[in-house]
Amino acid sequence: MKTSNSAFRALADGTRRKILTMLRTGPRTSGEIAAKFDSSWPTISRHLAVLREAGLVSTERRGQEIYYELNTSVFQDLAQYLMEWGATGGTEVPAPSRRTAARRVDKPQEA
Amino acid sequence: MKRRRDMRHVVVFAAGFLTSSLAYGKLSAAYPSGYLEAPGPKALVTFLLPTAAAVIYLLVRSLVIASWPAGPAAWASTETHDADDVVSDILFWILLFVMSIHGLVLAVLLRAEWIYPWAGRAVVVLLGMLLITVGNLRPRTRPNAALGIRTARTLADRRLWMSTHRIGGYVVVVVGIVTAVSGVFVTRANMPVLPALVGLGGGLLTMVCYRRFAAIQEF
Repeated sequence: MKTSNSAFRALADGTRRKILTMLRTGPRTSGEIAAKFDSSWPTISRHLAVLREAGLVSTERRGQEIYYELNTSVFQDLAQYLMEWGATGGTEVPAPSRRTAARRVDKPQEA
Repeated sequence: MKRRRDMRHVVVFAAGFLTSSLAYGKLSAAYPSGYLEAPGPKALVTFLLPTAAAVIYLLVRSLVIASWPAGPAAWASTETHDADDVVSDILFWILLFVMSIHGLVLAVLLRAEWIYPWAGRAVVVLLGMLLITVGNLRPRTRPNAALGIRTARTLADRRLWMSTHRIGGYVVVVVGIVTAVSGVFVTRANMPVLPALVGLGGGLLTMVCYRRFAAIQEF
């Protein structure tokens, strides 16, 4: 059951918001997503399962690979934007630019 | 659950037909002589919109089902059903809008005077609400045979479809908000200013969205 409650719960986590920001640039496999984070693949896989359950991402099978793609509505995008803005005090908000998204996702690895 | 989601469409236009059937007899009393006295025009006025809603429903459903990949495995696929659910939601809100307009038309024809002052505004507000709802769901659509910006390029490239409908969704939501607010606040006095403001706002919005789209696609 995809409720707005589960969507808000999924959006409350910073890593999951970063995954959504990353998926703005296009569909990716769980391996490609996990490679951009310090967390282990099972952790990222769990985050993806939460996002999938909340209906914020959908999956598409292409041959042997399963691609995760963004499945948020306009108001869910707005909620993500506001939560990111609230979490970072307005210094860091999601942007659709590919370069910006890649830089933001890479940040935990640089730290 | 899936069947219940499909049933709600039928419930909406069935409610429209039921209301029409009840109103049909009362129209003769409301118009004892004149155009609406003849059975032909009276039937046309009372049943046109529910029939249109039923036709829209049948067309969209048949297009969706015809475009499903063949085989029971594809029918059971989560991906097929997720994409279908979004089209089903959009279709539901369109049918609900058509039936709401139908209710307003019947109420005006039946001379419900309490509705006269705000019936015109209600149509504009309902249209705005429909645009907000449909625009909100647009980013969740995937290439399909029934709804969306179906060009050769967007149908051939799933990624292009997704980014086009995401940005298109933002535009439709903003247009919907402007429409709904206009429906509430526009008066005869500020009417000449509004088209200019909407034109200016629409132009700016299109420019901003195009720039963001270009950033995503790296044109």
